[in-house]
Amino acid sequence: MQKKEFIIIPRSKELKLYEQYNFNTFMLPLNNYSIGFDAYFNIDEINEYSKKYNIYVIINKFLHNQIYEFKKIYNKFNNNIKFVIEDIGLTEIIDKNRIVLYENHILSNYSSINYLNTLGYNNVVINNDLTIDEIKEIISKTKSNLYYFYISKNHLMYSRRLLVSNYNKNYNISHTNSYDLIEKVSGNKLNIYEENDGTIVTFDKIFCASKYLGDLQSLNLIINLSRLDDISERMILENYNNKSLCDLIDSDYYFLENDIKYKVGDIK
Amino acid sequence: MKYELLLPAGDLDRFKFACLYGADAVYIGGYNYSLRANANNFSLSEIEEAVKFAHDRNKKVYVTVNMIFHNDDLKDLDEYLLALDKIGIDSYIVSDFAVIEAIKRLKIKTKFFISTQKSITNLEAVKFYKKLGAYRVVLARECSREDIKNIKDNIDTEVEVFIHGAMCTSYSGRCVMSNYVTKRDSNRGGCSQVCRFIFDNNTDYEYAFSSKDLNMIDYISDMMDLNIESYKIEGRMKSSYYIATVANAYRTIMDNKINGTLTNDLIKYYKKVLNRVSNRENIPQFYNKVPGVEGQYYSGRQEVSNKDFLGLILSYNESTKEAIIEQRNKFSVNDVVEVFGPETSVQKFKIEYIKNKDDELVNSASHAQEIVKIKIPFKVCENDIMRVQIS
Repeated sequence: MQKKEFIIIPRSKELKLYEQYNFNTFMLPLNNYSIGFDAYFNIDEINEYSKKYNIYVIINKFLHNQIYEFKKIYNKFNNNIKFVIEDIGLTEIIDKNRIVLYENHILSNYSSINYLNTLGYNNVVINNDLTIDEIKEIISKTKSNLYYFYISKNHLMYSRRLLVSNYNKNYNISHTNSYDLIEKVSGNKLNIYEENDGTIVTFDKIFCASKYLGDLQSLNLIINLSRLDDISERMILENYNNKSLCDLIDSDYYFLENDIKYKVGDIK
Repeated sequence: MKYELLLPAGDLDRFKFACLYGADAVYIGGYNYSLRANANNFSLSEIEEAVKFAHDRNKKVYVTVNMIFHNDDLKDLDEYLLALDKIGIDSYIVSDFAVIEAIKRLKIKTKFFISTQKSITNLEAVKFYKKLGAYRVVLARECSREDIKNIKDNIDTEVEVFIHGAMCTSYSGRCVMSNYVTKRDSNRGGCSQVCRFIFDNNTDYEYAFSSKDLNMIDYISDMMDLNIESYKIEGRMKSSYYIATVANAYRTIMDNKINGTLTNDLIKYYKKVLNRVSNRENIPQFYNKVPGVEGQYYSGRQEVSNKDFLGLILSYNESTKEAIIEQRNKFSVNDVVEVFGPETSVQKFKIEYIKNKDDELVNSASHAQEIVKIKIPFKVCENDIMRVQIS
């Protein structure tokens, strides 16, 4: 299998910061169309960067009628830019060969990927909650160009509600747009972040698949630096190609090694 | 135009209640591949029985095959889809592209439509699924009136919307908190409702963000004016009483709208009925605006148990005017109660006496499922429900 590229979702808008780590492919969240990231970019900035780097634009909001605003601006993007999209409605607007379908944690089997391929969608992001064996089976049974969130604080939930503002108003707390949450029974730590028109919950630990890097060589590996601290970011940038990276950061790769059950009766 | 009232059912008993109490169609799940793995669900033979029961009454049955498939889950999918097709279900409710692929590859004639798990929020998304062969889409619960109207005005694909029941805090299908916190896969039917858990957030208060429930009774008339085809009630794990009560409420409202006899008093009454049967507060959610501070809870579960369901009518003797009743919650002599049913409009009466199984007069029926006789001054039927007075 052909070795694919690493793609950075940056924490900073200054992409030249990442050049020293040999990155030249970026996935840039689009202002007002994306949620759950640190750095957002407008069309002019994206077009400018596309002259120097390989650029994907990630649009991960459900757009409702905002989709028609995107329709008006779509032609302003340079032709070499690709779009990673969560709202399936965008397939009616964006040229098929520029689309990378991203359904967050949904795309989880080879049959779906192959079916999308027959429809002309041959660039897809697969779920990163799969086991390594499931991923290997997908790789062996598909011909599509697969993308994978290789390192990321995983988005666990996306709400249209303003879950932090509502809470603050209810208790008359001075404004903050985020909280660290500890679940009382399990002790799991989550992070909740509110943006202009929605809220994201992330897992506090960093998903990191470096231990299985050798098995993932044929995937395009996305490194999402959003929501990381400075030390973790630096550690990742310096060691992303190192299998032991997952031991160097506060990482989690439970789902790579464990298939979770879905019926109460299955849980022994 | 036909407006479909679509009810859920977690087992055959509840399925029959849904059909009897006003559903035009009922959606159910099999033992596999549905998103409510903790509901009792249906075996293939039960699905067959349900389909016969429904079709005999000119009603439809939709089967959810809407989980997100992993590789191993695909193994028996073809066989399952073919078995459902052979039984003669009216539609599959699907989410994963693998299911659509299988339906097409197997050349199955049974139609399919797209689950709310796909979070469809705009016309362009509906166009995409129409091209794949879907005759209907279930819209995201986050859709506004404007979103729905734009879709309805511009495409002939049928639209199904949720009108009542629990809400996810997240867009459907985009939440895996259950996976990470409890190791149960939300997209394969194991959701543990982590959004209703309590969290510490290093403030003086605990943190919770669970949603209040959905209740669209104030807007049903307006929604029908938008020509929405299907009106869906959430709750495959709810009780028979809940199913019957909610079905009866919306059936009555929708029929009165169609007949031009809908009044504010009727809406007010059934709003009261629905508020009592729900175990959480309920509001219209996203229809007119994104819910604000009033749309959610901040201190964990706020559920109350409902004791309105007093008894199920087993039979009625028109000459003695005595009904045999199976008790559900305590009732006593001199209580004023209501009866309603599939063919029985809501009527109230005072309980004059109660006879136990030995025909002895007693003051109360206080034992769960005990069989008693009471006098009811008007005709009632088997499977009618006696409840506390709400009007």
